Amino acid sequence: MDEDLLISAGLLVELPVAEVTLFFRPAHSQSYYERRMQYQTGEWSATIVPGELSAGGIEYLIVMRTTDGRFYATPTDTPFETPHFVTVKPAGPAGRRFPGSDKVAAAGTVSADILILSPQVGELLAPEDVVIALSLFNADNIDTSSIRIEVDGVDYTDQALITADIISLHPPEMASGLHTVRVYLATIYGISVTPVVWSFGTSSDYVDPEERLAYSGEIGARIASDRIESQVLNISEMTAKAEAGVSWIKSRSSLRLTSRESSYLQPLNRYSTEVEFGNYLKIQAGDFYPLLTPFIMDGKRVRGVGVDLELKWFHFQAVSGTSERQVQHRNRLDNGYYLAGVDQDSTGASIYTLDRNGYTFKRQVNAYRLALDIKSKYNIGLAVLKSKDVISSVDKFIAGGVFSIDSTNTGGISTVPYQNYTYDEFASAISGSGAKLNFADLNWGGDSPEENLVAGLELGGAFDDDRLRVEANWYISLRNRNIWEGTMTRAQMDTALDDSLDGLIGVQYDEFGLIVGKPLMIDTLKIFDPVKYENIFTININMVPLLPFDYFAYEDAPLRAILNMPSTAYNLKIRGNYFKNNFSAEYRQVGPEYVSFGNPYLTSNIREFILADRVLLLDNKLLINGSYKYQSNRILSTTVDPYRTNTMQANITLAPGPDVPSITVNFQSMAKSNVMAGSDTVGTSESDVRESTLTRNSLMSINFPFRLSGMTSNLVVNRYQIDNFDLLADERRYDFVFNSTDSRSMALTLTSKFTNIPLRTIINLSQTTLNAAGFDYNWIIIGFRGMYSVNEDKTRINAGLNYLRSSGFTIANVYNTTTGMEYYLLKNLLLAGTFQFQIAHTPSWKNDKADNDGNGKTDEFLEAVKLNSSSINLTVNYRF
Amino acid sequence: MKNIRHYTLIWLLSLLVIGMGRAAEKVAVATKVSGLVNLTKSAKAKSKSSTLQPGAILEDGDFIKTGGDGFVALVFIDDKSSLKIKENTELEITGKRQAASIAKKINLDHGTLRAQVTKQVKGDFIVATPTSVASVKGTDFWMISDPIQGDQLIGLNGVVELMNVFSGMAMDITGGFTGNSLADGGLTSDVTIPETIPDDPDEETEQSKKSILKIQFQGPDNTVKTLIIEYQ
Repeated sequence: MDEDLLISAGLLVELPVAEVTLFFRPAHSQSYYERRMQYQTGEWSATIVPGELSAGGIEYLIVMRTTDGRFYATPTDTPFETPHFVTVKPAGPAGRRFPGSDKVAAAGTVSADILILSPQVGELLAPEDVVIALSLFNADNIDTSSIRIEVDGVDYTDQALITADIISLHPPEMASGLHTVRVYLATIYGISVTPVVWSFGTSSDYVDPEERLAYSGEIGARIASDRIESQVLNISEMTAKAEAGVSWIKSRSSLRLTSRESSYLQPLNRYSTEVEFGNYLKIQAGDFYPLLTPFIMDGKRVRGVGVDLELKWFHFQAVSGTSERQVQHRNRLDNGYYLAGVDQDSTGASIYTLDRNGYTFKRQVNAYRLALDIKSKYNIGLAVLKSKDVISSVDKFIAGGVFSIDSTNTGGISTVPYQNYTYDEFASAISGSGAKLNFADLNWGGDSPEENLVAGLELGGAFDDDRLRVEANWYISLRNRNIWEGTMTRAQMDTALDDSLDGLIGVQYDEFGLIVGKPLMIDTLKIFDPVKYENIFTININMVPLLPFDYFAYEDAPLRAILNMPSTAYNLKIRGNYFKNNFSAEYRQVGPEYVSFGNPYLTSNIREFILADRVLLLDNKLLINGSYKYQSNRILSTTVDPYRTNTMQANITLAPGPDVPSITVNFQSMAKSNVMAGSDTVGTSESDVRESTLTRNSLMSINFPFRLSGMTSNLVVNRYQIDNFDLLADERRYDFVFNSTDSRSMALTLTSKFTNIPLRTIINLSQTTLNAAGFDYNWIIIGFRGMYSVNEDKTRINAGLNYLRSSGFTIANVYNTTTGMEYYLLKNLLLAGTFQFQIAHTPSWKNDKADNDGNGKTDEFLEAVKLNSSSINLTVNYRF
Repeated sequence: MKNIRHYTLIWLLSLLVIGMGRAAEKVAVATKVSGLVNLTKSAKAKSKSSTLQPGAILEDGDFIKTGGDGFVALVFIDDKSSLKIKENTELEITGKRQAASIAKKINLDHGTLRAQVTKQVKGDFIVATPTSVASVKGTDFWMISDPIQGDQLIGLNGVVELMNVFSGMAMDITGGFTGNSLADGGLTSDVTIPETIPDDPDEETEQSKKSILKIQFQGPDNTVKTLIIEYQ
């Protein structure tokens, strides 16, 4: 290390050399020093002085530029990343060394621990994306006023941000080519620091990685066979996913084909494609699950097209497709056609009435939502959904649809033999017998075609720097349960609520022609003609509700009548975030007749008020949750025995941090009553239908992470308890049975990961006690599962064993075992398989003198043992 | 006694003045910015926000908010750990100086980020969300946070300890696995589905790494020459 290192290079071919540069650095350091090589006697050479050498060795590369602009380098491949290496031996014992002398360069400079943050050595960038940054974090005593930064020999110091820790420069757009950065510094003692020099490239041809086409995907197949008792279910599936795009346009497609697909059911195959244009426009086609608002469309699969256009102040969503496809009939007897009855006409000929069932109409869905954002503070939106069954989608005459003729559906009167028929067979049979066939064109015995129209308004606002948000939504729905006969005329409306065709709706007369009671009395000529609006909604007598609001209640209390309209849903919600509290208050009501075909999961006939608060303390280590919820179904004044539920919940979690035990305590109290109720008569006995119950639910969970030699583990202890109380117990008859189930459960789960071997294990123990109607039931579960990977994680093996012992009326032991393996045949090709089976052992069966397994023998050797279930699952998956 | 009180008062006032005047610690530098990105200097001070510029120096307590097309890459000055912040993300960067490093904590309100962390002393790089705390030990991972749904941590390399703050449960997430930390306290992990890994606007794909990179040079006679470098 005390000798110069001379590096020379020669050419074996003639080239017009303009410049040869040596780049070198201590091995594995971040930046290169740069030195121009001198031409002498047929070769280019440069010297690295001892102060620049490192005991770890020197890495170097040589770049040659020719007069015609070409560059050549050695090493030829990725020279900056894989440079040549020279071993440097330490100096011998001769010579005297002084402390710190190894940090002083020959030219009177000192080295400093300066970190190049950006760009990386040899990195290629777009000309406008250059940010030059160095960290002085670990370099002590640098005089910031001495710092000078040059790029390609041009001084950019004035444009740089220079602090005691960082040098940062965002130069103007640079020309394409190789650029060299030189940073000169000195210590506060005036000693120069070895300059930091490195190079990077820019190119106008540079394509941002984001702009390059990227693609990925997955193809998989699965076969599974499940057996539960004597039932066997075999499934095979194929799935595929693909994704491709650049920054401004991306597409995703997926496909699932399953052997369960059947024309007798709703589709189980799935096809979907989605194209996104930046963050502004998304187009979906095939099967997708649109979300407009929870009150209109959320969670329902649609097969069709969806458009979502979102700009800064404007958001438009549109969905068009089918939520149900047509099914002509089920694959079961009497589930396409069925014989409704047999009569005889005056001539004595039999009249067979045939009807259709087992069908499903295609349901067309169109939904739209438009929302405007005003100054990022207020928003207003409108949404509408129309869904209608397509009557013509179900055929009257179908190829399948076998139905039975027997004594039960003919009343013993039949001129055709009792047997199963298709329609053609039956038509042929009765034509030969002289019987007649009555088969209606509409109003069949299966489901009636329906229509649903929902519309609503949403308002919202954000205040106080977005810390307080208010939102309100109001929706109304119309539903027609039977549109077979289409829209009603004015004449039909006239007699919809009364029997007299008098041009007035809702007027009834007595036998003397005098008006009875307080009539509605609406002139049919003064209201709209439903026929004009049949393209929007089918108005007829099957509408639910027939009138959206209670006309009489409106006269007494208009506001209350509007708020309690049975086919409306609305909410008002306030959310705030102040003083580490995240709170919300919501009033929400969904009327008993509110329905949206776009969200079949919305609970109707409910009014609720919710208060909730969450506070995070001790730097988010202590979490306290509290909530109160009131629920009732007393929306209509006509509701019989309305119930009300008050639920209070509190939760405290203390989680100091990783590797430290944490604890969660949860308590819930729910009081439910229908105290307005009394007793009800069921048959000849009287039943007490009053309800006033209290349910207490508590959970405590302790999570205890710990480390042992060669193992990191996590022990979770859970205790769970539910108690139910009948608050009217003192007032009940002695024979009243309070139906409730109290339970207590204790569970321990230990997960471990071994550091020396690629093994993970999970051990769980739990005990659960239930008390239902005075009887105790107990379960004890012991389980073990392990996962072991071999061959550098190419093969993963897992196995598990569970034991369950239940005791109550009978004692039973259940043993369950699962084994599986995943094997990467290629880097992206995974083969996997799992196998599980479960055996039940019921000791009492061995001595009960009964044939429990149905093999014709009693209490034989394996009488008490039964194979409960088994399954095998094989998958293959390829990713690209 | 009076003097003791006097000096104590002066000492306390001095501490207060020193504390007030102490500049926020510089922790990182923004190396790439695209789209709409706002910076609020020192979130605690609630100062007004400004557009983040490439090369900007970030300090302890700075709050970054990316718009629908926003992206930021930043590098920490002590160990070159990097953070890539995708669109529609809000986070606070905090860093406390220690002897030879910075203890970094990213308070991710919501959004998506990728952390490429140089091997740390335990607990020195933490990503905290309203649902989870990820303690990083030297790794590469994506964090996708949604205060309502919970968090998704996609491990690319190394190990991250993910803890759900509601339940206190914790688990290690390694490369190739995704941890799901839910708002109901649940914490699960599963093999990562490649399509769920967000696109990194700042990273070349394996395929693109094999691309030919071209640098054009224009000579005095206006002839254009191209330097071709093949990257593996």
